[in-house]
Amino acid sequence: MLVICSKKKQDIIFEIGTEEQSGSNNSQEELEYTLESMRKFCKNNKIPFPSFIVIQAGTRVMETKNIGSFDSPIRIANELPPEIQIPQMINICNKHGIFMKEHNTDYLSTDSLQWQPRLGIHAANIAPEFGVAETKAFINILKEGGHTDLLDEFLKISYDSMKWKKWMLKDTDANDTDRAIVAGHYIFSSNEFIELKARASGKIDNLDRFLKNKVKESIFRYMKAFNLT
Amino acid sequence: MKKTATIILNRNLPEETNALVEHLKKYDGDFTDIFVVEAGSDKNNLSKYCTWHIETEEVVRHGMRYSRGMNYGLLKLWKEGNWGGYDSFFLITNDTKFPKSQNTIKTLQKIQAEYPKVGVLSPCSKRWGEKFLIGPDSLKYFWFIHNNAYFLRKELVERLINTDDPSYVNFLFDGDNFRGYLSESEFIAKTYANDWAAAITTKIYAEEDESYLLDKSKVIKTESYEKNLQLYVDEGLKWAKKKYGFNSRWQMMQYSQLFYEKFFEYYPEEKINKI
Repeated sequence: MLVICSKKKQDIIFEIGTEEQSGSNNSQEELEYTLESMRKFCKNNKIPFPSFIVIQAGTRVMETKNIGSFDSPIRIANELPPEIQIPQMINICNKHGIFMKEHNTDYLSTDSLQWQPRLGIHAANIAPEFGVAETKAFINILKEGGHTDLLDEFLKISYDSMKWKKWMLKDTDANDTDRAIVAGHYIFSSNEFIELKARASGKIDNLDRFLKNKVKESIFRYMKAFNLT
Repeated sequence: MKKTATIILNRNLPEETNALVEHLKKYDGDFTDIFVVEAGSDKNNLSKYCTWHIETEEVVRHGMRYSRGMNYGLLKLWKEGNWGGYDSFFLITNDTKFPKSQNTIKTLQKIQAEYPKVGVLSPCSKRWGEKFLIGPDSLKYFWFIHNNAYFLRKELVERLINTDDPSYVNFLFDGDNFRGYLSESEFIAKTYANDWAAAITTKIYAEEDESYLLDKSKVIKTESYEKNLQLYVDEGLKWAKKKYGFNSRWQMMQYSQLFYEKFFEYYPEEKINKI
């Protein structure tokens, strides 16, 4: 992929990651190995070294919370405490001249987010939090408008998608609505949802703008914490 | 006289403490004297190896926790003239568990002799990710070590103790931070700032049996696990704010790491043990 993209002669920078979603932290050996292999590969193929590598270091998303050690004072079995893990990973990235992108940054407290750039973390991976922000906003506006039929229909489509499954904690106490909230954004592109949203838009003025603003608010939390505003 | 004084902190768990003492006597009896601090235990819940029983109203009500409990034991040794003969102090609580047949203190003494710059030495835990970083049967220096089982060199302790109006609140550890959240980082920072290193070894292991606090909090007469955790963090953050003006655990971490990095500037030959 890197070779093909490079041949296009476009101005592209690359991000790499193992994306194993194992939920556990990346080890230093694993990171060193990945970066060493990548350096050899880039040199042999005469392509630029990637700009970012995605690393899991003290973060882990389940349901709608971050259960990693970054936000927690408790040790997680068989993992390094983030006090050690994060500086170690950043040192390796700096040595290889690549930016560290923290995986699964969603739902970290604003205080923890403010520390990410100060610790030397260069970028953050956030996805489900923004999707969930849109889902919650959609649910709230349907509730406020008394559109119970549309709300029930949305929750059912979302729940039935079963996309919440991989995000549930083993000992979860989440009810069906909670599960539908976790899965909501997975169905935004389905025909069922597009049709349902069209009906909702007919009943609610500026629905799209409202939803966009709610996602913007969620993104803004990060921008402010990262001092990007 | 043996080279190490082991101080065990107990509160209302006599059987567990007796078992811990007996384990150490069996496998390290020739290497350590053992002192048990009873932090406000009920009279019928004292370990048969009790050395000092603290019964003040405050201690009976709240216990002592690691910092105050260890300060108490160390101060007693210092005041009672038992200080001079020891080279090291091993500070553990009643929920510490060692692998069967492990010669814990004998090994710690040996490592301390092999690594003359190590002031704080801790056995690793099977549950700690540090074991992967250190590798088997080895040792590395860290800027963050949980205080499950600190083995302290006397020379370091003597650099740090407060001999001006000492008490169980201020002798070595800062007992104003009652439950001790972030206190480990402060202690490690002071260690490096005084030209000593803090190491974890995988030559031996020690485990913290959290089930004592999870299942026996009523017997111990302490808060539930969740309540204790909340107080631990809240009190620790308040303490760090008051003492240092720090508002986050990460500031304390950077503070400790700063002295760690400086240590290797002064002692580059020690870089072999740097993580």
